[in-house]
Amino acid sequence: MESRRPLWLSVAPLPLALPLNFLRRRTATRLNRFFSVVTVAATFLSSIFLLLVLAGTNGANIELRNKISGLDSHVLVRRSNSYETVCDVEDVSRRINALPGVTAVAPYVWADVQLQTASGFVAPARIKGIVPAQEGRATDINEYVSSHDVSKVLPAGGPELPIVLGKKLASRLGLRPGQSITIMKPGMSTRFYPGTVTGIFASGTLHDSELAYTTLGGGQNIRGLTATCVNAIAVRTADPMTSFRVAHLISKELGSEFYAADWSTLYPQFRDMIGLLERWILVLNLVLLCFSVMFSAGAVLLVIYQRRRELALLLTMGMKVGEVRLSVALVGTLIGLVGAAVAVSIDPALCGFMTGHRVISLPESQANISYIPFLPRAIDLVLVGILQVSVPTLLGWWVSGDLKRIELVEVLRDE
Amino acid sequence: MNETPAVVVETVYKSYPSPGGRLEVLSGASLRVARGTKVAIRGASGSGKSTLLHVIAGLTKVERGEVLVNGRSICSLKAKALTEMRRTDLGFVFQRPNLLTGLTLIENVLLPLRINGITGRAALARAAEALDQVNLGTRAQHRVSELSEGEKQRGAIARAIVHRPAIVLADEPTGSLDPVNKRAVLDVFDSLNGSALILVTHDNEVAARCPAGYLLKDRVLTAYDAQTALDLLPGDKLHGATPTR
Repeated sequence: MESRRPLWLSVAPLPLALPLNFLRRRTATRLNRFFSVVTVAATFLSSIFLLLVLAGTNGANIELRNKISGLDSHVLVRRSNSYETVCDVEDVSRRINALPGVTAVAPYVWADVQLQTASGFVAPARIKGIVPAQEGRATDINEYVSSHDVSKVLPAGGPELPIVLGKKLASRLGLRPGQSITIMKPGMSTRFYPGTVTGIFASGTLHDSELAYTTLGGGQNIRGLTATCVNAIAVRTADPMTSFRVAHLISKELGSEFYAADWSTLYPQFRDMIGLLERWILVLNLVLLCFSVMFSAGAVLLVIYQRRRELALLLTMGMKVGEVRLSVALVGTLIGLVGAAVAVSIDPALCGFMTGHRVISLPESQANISYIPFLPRAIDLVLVGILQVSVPTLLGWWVSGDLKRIELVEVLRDE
Repeated sequence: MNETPAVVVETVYKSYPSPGGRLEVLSGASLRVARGTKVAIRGASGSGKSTLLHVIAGLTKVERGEVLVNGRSICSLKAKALTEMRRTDLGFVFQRPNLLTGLTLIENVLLPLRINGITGRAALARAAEALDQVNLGTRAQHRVSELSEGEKQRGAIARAIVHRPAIVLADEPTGSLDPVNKRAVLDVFDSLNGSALILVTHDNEVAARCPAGYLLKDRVLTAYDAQTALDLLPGDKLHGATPTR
């Protein structure tokens, strides 16, 4: 006998060899090939769709969190009486820094002011006096300034106050770096402070249209504070989603004279937005999961229906029902494995492409996030892979239970 | 001969539900097939020939009567034991080849061996031997779609005999073949050694190739001998046959 290729069927376990044959590329008929391609393609499509939605929702979630904590601290610490200032900054900062979960602290002062340009345009703003190096560690300000280092645009000293404006605020006032600006502090007697625009930041949040930065000394001067006092201390935590625990620890450490609140307390609308987003993600994923399972189920049923006659034939040859069922289940396994493997392999590249090209962009003026990045998570890849393999496998085993009751005579009767 | 017959069908009754009530297919049918012999079951279309084969293979249950395969009653056997019996004792040839389309010819022939737990070189050697027996040794590696109808049917016969079953059941095996291929298939059946062959057909020429036979008419089986079978060739009437019940 000639032997042109190894006969794997003579040695491979039969329940595995048969499903491999069912899905082989070189099957005899176009219909078989079509079914094989359609079943694998259906599983692939449902997998990649699920993965993309998961990556998109994950990206949106992270982006939103980043925006929330981008220019604001995870935890804010001030005196319980909001009119009082924190004048023992170094000691308080040291005690906060020693607490678990705290990664950085940054003291700051703030004041509500009016900004006036040389040509007479005026706009209300909140000015924040910061220590650039510390602020850069406690918030994401460095990411949003054009120089990527807020220290460079807020130099200490100089005859005029260095001012870094939000992009929209600068646009409204028609200001560019290098131009002069006057800071007016309204009060019983309005005071004026000359300044120079030294930089622009763009965070993609509402801060862009209302916030300006200056040095801590400049802020203290505007606010009328001594050099040792600040309004509050910004605290960065390791995980923004658990920063409420850190806030609780800080309250405990500093006592009742101080008030510590995390971002979800300070900005309940963001907390609600994230909660809403997470519920929406859950619903969306459940719907997708159902679709995915239906795809897989359809794929396995298609194979069983198509191969019904062959399965009956194997039973007449004396193959055990359990072995035939295992074959059918493994058809599901192979379909799921191939479809999911391809999807999992290309998902990171596809996500990278969709993020890079900002495929889903949002109107800047109406949203806190300008686009949705697609950020795949390893856990999602693993879970989708397991799901897409296990569901068709179990489904194949379950559906093939009917083979116990199959009327072989009827199936094998010639059409 | 004292040897246990390969198949004994004893006063079997079988009917199917139909819109007009139960449709009697077998009513007290009996037959006896000795080991290694070839028996034709003749009868008009719809007379119940295939049902008889299904009864012998345990693919369908009888209402009354007894069916013995290799001396063992199969009527009371559980599904597992029936599967075991089909695996080891029976080979089936259908009117159509029913080869698995994605496999090569030799892979199809390997199937009964693998189901019987025979693997590797031993299985390959047995499959090659069976293909040689049906003159398809050179077509072993061909895919099913590359074979003619006659070759496919001979391949199906190789698959039915490769595990050396005691009984080969053939249901109209030449029904869809042209005269040349029909004769080639019958030549293969003639060369069968060791296995009993029960061949269902409504074709007189095919029936005449078996030394003994039964006519299934009016739901009962009537035996006839080789000479009678030859006499049957031109027409379809049975002379001198003796009912077995």
